[in-house]
Amino acid sequence: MKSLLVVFLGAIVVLFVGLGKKETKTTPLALLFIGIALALIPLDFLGKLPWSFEKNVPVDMLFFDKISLSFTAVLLLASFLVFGLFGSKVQVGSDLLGLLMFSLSGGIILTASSNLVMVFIGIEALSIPLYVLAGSRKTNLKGNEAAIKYFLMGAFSTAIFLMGCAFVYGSTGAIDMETIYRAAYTMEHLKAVSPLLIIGTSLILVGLSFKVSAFPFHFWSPDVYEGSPNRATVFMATIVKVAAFSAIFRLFSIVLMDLRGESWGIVVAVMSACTILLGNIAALRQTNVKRTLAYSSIAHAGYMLMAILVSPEMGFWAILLYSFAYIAASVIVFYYFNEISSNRDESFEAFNGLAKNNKFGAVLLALSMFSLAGIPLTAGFAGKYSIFSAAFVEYKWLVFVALLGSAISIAYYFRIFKSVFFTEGDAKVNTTAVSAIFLGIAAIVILLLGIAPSILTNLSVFKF
Amino acid sequence: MDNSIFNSVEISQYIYLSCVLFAIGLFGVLYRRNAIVLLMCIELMLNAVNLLFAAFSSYMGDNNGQLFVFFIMVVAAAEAAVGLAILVMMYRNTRSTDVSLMDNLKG
Repeated sequence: MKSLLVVFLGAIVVLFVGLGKKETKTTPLALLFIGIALALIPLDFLGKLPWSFEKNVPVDMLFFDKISLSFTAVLLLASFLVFGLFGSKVQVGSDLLGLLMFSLSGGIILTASSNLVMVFIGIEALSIPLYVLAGSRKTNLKGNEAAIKYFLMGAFSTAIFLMGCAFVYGSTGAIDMETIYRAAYTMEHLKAVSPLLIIGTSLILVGLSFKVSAFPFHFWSPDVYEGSPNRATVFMATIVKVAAFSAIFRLFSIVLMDLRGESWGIVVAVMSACTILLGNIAALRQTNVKRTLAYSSIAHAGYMLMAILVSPEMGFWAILLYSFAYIAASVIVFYYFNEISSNRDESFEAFNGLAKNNKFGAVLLALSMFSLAGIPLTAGFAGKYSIFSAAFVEYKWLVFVALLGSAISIAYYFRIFKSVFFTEGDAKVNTTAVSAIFLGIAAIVILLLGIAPSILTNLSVFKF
Repeated sequence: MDNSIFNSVEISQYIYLSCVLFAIGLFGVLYRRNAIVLLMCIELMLNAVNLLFAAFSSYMGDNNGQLFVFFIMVVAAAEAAVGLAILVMMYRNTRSTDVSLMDNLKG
């Protein structure tokens, strides 16, 4: 709760303090607010908060349990890195920074919502500022196209999500998740699951899979990612995806877990398999690095969907570890892409010869590529391992599909690796000391969680 | 919650009506090409949801559904404002509101 307030009030302060000043002048202030919010997380975490809403816990519309705090930590870390590494030197006024912070507070609401109304408010607060950000380059035709596609698909998916909420409300008589959980549990045990509840669950799943761009609702995301400014793209690829997954995790893995066998289990498994295969295969035949990264983020959504299928205790740690790995690596890759493509060359060739001119950058880029592809000793491997081992018990075929997908993904990550290390060229990135610190934080996250993922999973000892 | 208009019609009729309205909106979004019509179709979908929430709320004598309706109306207004702004931006650059012209991004 404190983190949410700090981010939200910080957004207002940043918005007004930055009036008429260059954006680079207000960025430290925004970083300060996000840093404070991040520092407040461990304080809350050590307190007597429950892991999730359980019996006899009073449930408000927003409920900060340890699950939501953990996801909030991921969101805040990701936005800390994004704010530190991405920024326009010419932009005047801090409206874009303020909008990003409003969007972030929407994401935090989404992680903590224990009521369908708050899920809806969170999704909208997360998305509406991003519609503006996607189109922030007003005269750029690609930016316009990205904004209009993102807006139409976002509004469309929200309407579908709301229709699902209406059906769930009609069948369970409640919009708060605890009552929905009890109603679903009772229906499952009486073997009388209302068809309205099944329809509602499916529509909610469709609405949320638009947000995380899972197959078959992924078609908008490569276009939107390519056309949006890089900062908005990395925000969509990391923060929006993790926030939407926290909502999916809470709704499906916890609240509607009893209906898994009855309705959504096999659907999510098939969606996950198709997302992984389609994302990785489509990424292979791209020539534009940004589109490749967009398809790779679709594939990563597929891996994260696998974690929804297993029991919440195992799924939670797997998805949390994977989110940390994914955001840290994505931010590094997008940073170097942003710096290199500033002269409008977005092809793989733009990376040629980076290793010769910038050893630090080449090593970090290689590390994050390894993490995204899931090579051992990186956080990506730890995340993939925990997801696959959790899913292996019940969904063996899905794990084989996912392993195949990971093998395919190595091919296109290696294309960037090859350009950086083995091709002659003159790619150059001038990393300032400040950027190097932020990149270092991301790299430490990848290495630390890769070598000792138990740092994170041992947090489960803080039980009540 | 004794509302004679709501109670004189069965709940199933409301469900069918909302589903039909929702489907009209959905197919409108999928088949129309004018961005303003798309926006109207999305509003139609949201209003179908509102009707369904209000009907269920009255049927069950529970206020939560009506609370949800207010939130949907407020947020839909905010969303429409941003959407229209994006439309104006698009119109300034292309002199058209036809979304099928927006096909620069492919691959």
